[in-house]
Amino acid sequence: MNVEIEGNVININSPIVTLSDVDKFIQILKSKENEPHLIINIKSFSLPSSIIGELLRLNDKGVAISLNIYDNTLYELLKALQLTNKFKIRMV
Amino acid sequence: MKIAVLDDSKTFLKYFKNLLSNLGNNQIYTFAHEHKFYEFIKNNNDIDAVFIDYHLQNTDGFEILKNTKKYLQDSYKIIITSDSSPQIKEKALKIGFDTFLPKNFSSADIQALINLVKTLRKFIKKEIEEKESFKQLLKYKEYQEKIIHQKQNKIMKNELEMYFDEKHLFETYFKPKDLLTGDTIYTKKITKDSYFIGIIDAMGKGLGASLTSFNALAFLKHSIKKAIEYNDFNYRKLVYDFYNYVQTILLENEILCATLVLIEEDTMHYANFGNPPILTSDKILYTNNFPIRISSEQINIDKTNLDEKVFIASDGIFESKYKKSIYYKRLKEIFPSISFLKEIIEDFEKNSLQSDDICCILISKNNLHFQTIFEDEIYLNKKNIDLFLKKLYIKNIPLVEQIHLILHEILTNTYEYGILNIKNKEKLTFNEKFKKKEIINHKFFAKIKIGINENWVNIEYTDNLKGFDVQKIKDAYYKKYHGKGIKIIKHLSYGLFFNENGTAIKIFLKVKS
Repeated sequence: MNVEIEGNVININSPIVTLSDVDKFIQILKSKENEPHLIINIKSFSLPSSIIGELLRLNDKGVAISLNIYDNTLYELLKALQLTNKFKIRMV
Repeated sequence: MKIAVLDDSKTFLKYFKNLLSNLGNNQIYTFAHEHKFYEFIKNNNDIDAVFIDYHLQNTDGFEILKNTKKYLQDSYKIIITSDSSPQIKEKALKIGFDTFLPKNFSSADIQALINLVKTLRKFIKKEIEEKESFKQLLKYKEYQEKIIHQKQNKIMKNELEMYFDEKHLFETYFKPKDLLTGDTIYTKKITKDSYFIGIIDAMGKGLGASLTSFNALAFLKHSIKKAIEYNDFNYRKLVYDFYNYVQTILLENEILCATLVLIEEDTMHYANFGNPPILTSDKILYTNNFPIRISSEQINIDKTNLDEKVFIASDGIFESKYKKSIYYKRLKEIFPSISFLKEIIEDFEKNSLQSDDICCILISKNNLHFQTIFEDEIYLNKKNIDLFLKKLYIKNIPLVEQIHLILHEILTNTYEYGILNIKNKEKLTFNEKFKKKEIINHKFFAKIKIGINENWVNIEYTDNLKGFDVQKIKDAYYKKYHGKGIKIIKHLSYGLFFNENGTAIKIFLKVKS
């Protein structure tokens, strides 16, 4: 997993492959829970449900979430999960 | 009327207040400074009218309006001005004042203005009340919908919704058209190789049809439960009892359609009371009974060989519009090439428009052949699961990203419920979960096999843990913000099936052309 963090912008540059990758990424999200707005650029397909759950938790705490998606299958998946009314999701 | 006036001339305020009082207004609040005015309107958004002077000491009426609009969206806003320039009047109306009042007004001018505001406010208040009650109604409807869906799922207990055994794959689909459904489905494993399927459609709409349908279903459910308990299940007796019971709950002109099917090894027994035909890979089995009414008819129960594929449904999918005909025509055309129910639903959504409740089941023989392209066995702990997921991701196999995400979801569940023994995920924080110790048992393992044929990729997962609670997984699927894992798998695949005790899963993905 290759993740870059610049302030409130998180770039996921390669797939989230393992359970440990998910744990690491959730820790990153937890460190950002005081940000008013998080922008996440997802350049791979994979976005496991545990991470979606953490994003929803942050959103419930008042953090606005913007997801910029680079993969069409992932974009369709997030739409099917009815997340477009929770997060600002944009297909890049 | 509740009126607020802002003017930096105390003499004017006194005069204007007296005038308004004499015209019968008893709630008049006057302000010579804008900060006190703001403080007041912030906490009094029920003000009917505000009078704002254009020329103020520190600012002007236009600036005041900007902030006033934040707190008073529906109040009538009047600018008072001694300046008669048309530009000021035009701008005042453009930026949101409702009218302007020259300072040389007469008592009759004010009376006319107050009368106008009174009439307008009456309409606005009525509209606001209606909007509010509509909002409440929507909220109530949403709440009721949630409860009703939960209740429907609880009553129906659709055991074969995504189920497989050694010989067959079972999958069901249920989509009500409205909040109250007249269609219900009940599926149940009776014994090994013996399954009951009941699809009920109470004719008509609304609460009456829904009550009839659920009542009939509850009869089936309870009768079968007791029969299994006493080990005396008898399909023929069940059909007759059901028929007799339904007659006791029908109104004079009411009718109920139902298909009651028993699958016993390779034989299918069926009594179809007015529902659409049962489609099989080899034949069309037309209804063999009239719909159930108060008056009695003879009951026919027939049997046939269980074909490769069987599709049983209420009339919702059959009778919805398709071009100039009905979707039944299309269904007959596509059925020979169908492997999974999702293919029918996708085609239906693309080519038709749901006009009634939809309730259906597809039973197919579990005999698709696959060439194995990947196989592995994992002794279950986090380190091994991570190694497996890494190994899988770099494999050169079709749809590897989707397969990887699906197995990631399954193995996350296996790890959390089976190895960390987390009973209720929602009640555990991430840090608590992180601190939990793995159950060290080298005998816990999972087997994963991936196969491929011309059309499909097949993932087979088995483990030797206590098994997923399949009912809980299915329940989560119907909740808006829960069950994300199963929703992901369902979205990415065309077929998802569990064995009876939740220790084996079969998933089918479509190979893209």
